[in-house]
Amino acid sequence: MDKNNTHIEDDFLKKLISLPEDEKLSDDFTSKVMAGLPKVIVAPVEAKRKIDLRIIGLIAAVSITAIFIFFNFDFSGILKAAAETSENNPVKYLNLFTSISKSFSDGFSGIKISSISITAVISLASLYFADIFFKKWFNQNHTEAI
Amino acid sequence: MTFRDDSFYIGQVVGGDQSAYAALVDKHKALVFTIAHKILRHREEAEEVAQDVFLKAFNALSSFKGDAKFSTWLYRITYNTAISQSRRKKPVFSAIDDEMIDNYTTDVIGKSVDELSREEQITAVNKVMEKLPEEENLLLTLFYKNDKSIEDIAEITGYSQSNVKVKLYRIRKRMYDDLKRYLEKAEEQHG
Repeated sequence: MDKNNTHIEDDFLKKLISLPEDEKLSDDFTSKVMAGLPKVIVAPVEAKRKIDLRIIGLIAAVSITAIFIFFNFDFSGILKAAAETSENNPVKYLNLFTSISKSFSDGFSGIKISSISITAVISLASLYFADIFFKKWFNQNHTEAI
Repeated sequence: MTFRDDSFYIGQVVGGDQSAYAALVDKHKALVFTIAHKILRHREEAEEVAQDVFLKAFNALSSFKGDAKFSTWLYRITYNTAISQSRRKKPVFSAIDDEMIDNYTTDVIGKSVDELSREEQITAVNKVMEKLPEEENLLLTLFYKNDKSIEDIAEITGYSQSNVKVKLYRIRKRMYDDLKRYLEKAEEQHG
């Protein structure tokens, strides 16, 4: 306390004022305060995909196509025709071209689309488009509500 | 109950542990309530204001920079909230003359009060303090009962430090004047 406080320093008054007991708060005061606090809702953090879904789909489609081609197409004719080609004999190039065409036509003709596979393709496409539609519909309604 | 430093609990609450706020409430609720009660002079209202203060402080905790002490910041919110509440009910007037208080007066009153029983002393203090305007009652309590420094009181109330000293000086004088009058009246009744 500095010199200016000499007129307010007063032990007698301090003692006197401290005599009466203070009013007490209710026992459940803290719990009332805690109950009144706004609840902090921690939104679950959605794990961010490192690779886009479309890329994953593309990789899957390419892989399936590659496996399908590997097992359904006969490339031995192409390889044989390619080995026989030479600069001196242009006819051999024609044979190579024919082998390629034949391999592809044989390969594609091996693909049989059954009624089951058509149903599966149509079902998957329907689900996909329904998903897009509902997502757009929900987003629109949710934005309007806000 | 022993408490840690306020900054520890503040860090926990800001970090997402809402339950740590209970410790801050427990630590400061008594003085928050006292400030509100001295200004409002109504137990239930004071308790409501105290709850409101802790809610306000919680919502503003993330913006609390720590420039001031948390306790002072909290008591300042309490003071402002209670004053606003009080002004809604009635205007606060105070008029104290600036006559000097001499040592003779304090000594005489001191001796007279010492002769009273403890219960009589408590009654005398309560009667005299009830007559004081709410804000003066609070300043008196903060300085003489709760040992708050002039600097803290200035921060809580928003007055300058010199203003707080002047006010305390006047309140002290008024307190003695009122005590003197009370004792004279009591003596008349007994005599």
